[in-house]
Amino acid sequence: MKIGLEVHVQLPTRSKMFCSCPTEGDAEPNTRICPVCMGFPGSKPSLNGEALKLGLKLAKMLECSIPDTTWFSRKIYFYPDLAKNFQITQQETPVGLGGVYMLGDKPIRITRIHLEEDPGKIKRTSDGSSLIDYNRSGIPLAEIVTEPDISSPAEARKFLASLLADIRHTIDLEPDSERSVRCDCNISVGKERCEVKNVTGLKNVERALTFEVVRQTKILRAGGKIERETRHFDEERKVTTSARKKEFEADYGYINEPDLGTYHIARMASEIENKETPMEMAVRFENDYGMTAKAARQIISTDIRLAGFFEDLAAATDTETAKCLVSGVVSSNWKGFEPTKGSLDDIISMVRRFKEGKITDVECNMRVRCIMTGDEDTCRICSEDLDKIVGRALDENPSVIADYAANEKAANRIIGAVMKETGGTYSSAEIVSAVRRLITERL
Amino acid sequence: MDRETVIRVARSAHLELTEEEIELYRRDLEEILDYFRVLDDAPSSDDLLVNPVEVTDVLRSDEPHMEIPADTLLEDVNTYERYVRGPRVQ
Repeated sequence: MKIGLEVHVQLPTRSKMFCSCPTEGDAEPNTRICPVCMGFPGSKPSLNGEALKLGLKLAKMLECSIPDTTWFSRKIYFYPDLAKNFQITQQETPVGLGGVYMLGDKPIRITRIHLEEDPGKIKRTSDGSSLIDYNRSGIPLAEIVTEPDISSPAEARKFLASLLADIRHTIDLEPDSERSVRCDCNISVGKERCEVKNVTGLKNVERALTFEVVRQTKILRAGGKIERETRHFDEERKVTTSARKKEFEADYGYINEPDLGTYHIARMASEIENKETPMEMAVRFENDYGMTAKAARQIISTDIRLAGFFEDLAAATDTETAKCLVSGVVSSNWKGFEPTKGSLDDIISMVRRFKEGKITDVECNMRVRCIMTGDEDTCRICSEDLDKIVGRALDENPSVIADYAANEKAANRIIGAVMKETGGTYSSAEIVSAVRRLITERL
Repeated sequence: MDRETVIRVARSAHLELTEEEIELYRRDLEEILDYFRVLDDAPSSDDLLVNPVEVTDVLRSDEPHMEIPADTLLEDVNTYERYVRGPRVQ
């Protein structure tokens, strides 16, 4: 089985690719439009420098070779979502060629990455005519094309999740951007391949490909032949269906885009410094901190800021303590925690106190949890000293004092209550000693 | 210009032509292409033929800005609830 993907990622720019219309704002249809993205005669495109820069960052991340010069092309097709009757894309000189992406130990070859504009959005009416919203027309996209190196639907999903995490980190995509990734999936079980167009989201990519594996295998087993075709994925029914051929008949008649010039991208790319990708960071964590691959990936995939905090904590204390704390109490309370420099510094000081033997490991965990969650019960216990808690327990159970005079075992009621309330913050020896001392004082 | 090319171009443009129209457009397109044949005598160049005037590295800053209100642009467009009405699609 061979699977190749064409991944479309929306680039996080504030304005569109070839005009200054905002990419976000009013959700009403046709509110973010201008003569350029509406394809009015005489309008001229102008390339958004940020879109080109983000495309180059991705090309570098994917270890592509970057040509000296690039330009754009017109891909001509007639469909109402494209007001100009052509899409501005890159044909001959994509921003990146021949890269590689390491999925764990497995290299997935990248054929190319190019930039293009998104078309508008079509709504079909009951009588078959179309209603078009051009707000999306001209939104900048990067298309990443892989070689057919992926060998199962599950691997395709894993690849996309990992790629997306790296892309998100490299070009600062919003964390909740899974739905903004669209895929065309090419899959062949036998010799002939089919393309499933426009699948949105990782789950759907795996579902669409799994459906195709079953469909193609059944046909081949029955002695049939797979027809090379384009198919659609129906998200509700979770099936792929044959797309009418006419709709995708390709006779694009590419020509160079004369309204835009050429761009010296090799020079631009040399001035771009990419951040370390999460995959690179995971490898470094394994090497530098002796972490298992799984633990490294887990910390990094939770949040890149958690990985950064781990490094700060390891530098401030030691690697083993940092590993233990971050994979334990810090990871489990990270969701919902809004890390600020102050709160992270507080955690580091708390761990230092533990390292200096001023608090127990249990108390350290509890105090860290208090900083991260602000949970009332946890914080109250942390903020009170042991004497106060024991004193309150004695106030609530005054008979214990008299009983203690007759039998010292009466103290166990208070010891048990305090242990339960403090949930292991203090050692049993500390509690026993405090309870006995305070009862004796009250006798 | 041969018949097959006219049919192929029409198909790409989603046009259905009658036999008469195929012949009509075959002659018209041939005439247009002949007119452009004058360019065959133009001096050739080894440079990239993207633009006759060299325009390099002209980039726009990523600042959102709308010069013409969207409502003005839609004034002469056939719309339904702000959507642009388009043809029937498959």
